[in-house]
Amino acid sequence: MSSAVATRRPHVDLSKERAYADLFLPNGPLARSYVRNYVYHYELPNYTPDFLARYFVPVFAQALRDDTIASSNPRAVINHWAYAPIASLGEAAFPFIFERLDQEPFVWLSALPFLVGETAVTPEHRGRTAAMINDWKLWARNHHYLV
Amino acid sequence: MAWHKTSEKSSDYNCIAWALGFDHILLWPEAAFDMEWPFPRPETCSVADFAQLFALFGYERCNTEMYEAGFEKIALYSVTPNSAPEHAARQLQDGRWTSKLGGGGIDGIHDALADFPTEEPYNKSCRLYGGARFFFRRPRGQYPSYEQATMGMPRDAGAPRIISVGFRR
Repeated sequence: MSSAVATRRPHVDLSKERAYADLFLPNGPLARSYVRNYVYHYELPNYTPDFLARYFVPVFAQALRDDTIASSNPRAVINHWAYAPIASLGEAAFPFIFERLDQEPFVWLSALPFLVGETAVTPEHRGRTAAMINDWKLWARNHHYLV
Repeated sequence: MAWHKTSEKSSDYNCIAWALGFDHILLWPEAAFDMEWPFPRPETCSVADFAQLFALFGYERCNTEMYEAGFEKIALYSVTPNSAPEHAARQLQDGRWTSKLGGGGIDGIHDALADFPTEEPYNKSCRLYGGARFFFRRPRGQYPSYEQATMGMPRDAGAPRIISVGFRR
């Protein structure tokens, strides 16, 4: 008889992952629309990136902010598990990211050059948070991600 | 053995700037990010890059974090001796340490180098600092501001860098 060993990961906080999973619970917003689409169309719902970004960016952004708040190394942001799903949303995530730029500037100022593929920050504004935010907001308006 | 918070959250400066006594700038050497760095920026960073920065402000390497009268010290944290630094702390005149938590956190005073906040959300990410492995010191005194010390230094050209992990692959 094999002895059952209870696996416990005391240093891993699963609350963010649970928040993500809750979206799919029977009372969650995604599960409801999944059931509705399945009943009426008999096919898997095809969520648009914009629809997914509206729900997921705030969830992942909170995880990114809480888990990297004490890190000065900007690479901690792009190495975090919640960065990958935001990057996978691509351009659809940009409006929601630029809306949150003032709330968690270090997270997005670290991630944006990687998400966008170029930087909007001028050399003389490097490291100056307010100026960097202005540069990125100007870029976002010019590319119609921000009104 | 405790951590005492001394300011609210701020995104204007990070631990490296705070270790040098500045509260208006984000300092990080890696070229992929848009942080300030007074030297040509490397692709990946190491302790040598930070030693070069600290030398600009009069710091030299030393062997211990023990308090020495007449000197102020910086401790640099990393997970392994060869990995990129994760945090920095500055020694105060009373022998305690002050550090800023990350690029968006609070700053505070701690009695020992390993004393960090125990409350959410800082307790989790402070574990990622590793340990204080490298120490620097300079005589106490008046030193130039960041702008004075870096005036006229050559910088990167600032051409947009295309990084192949964004949506524009």
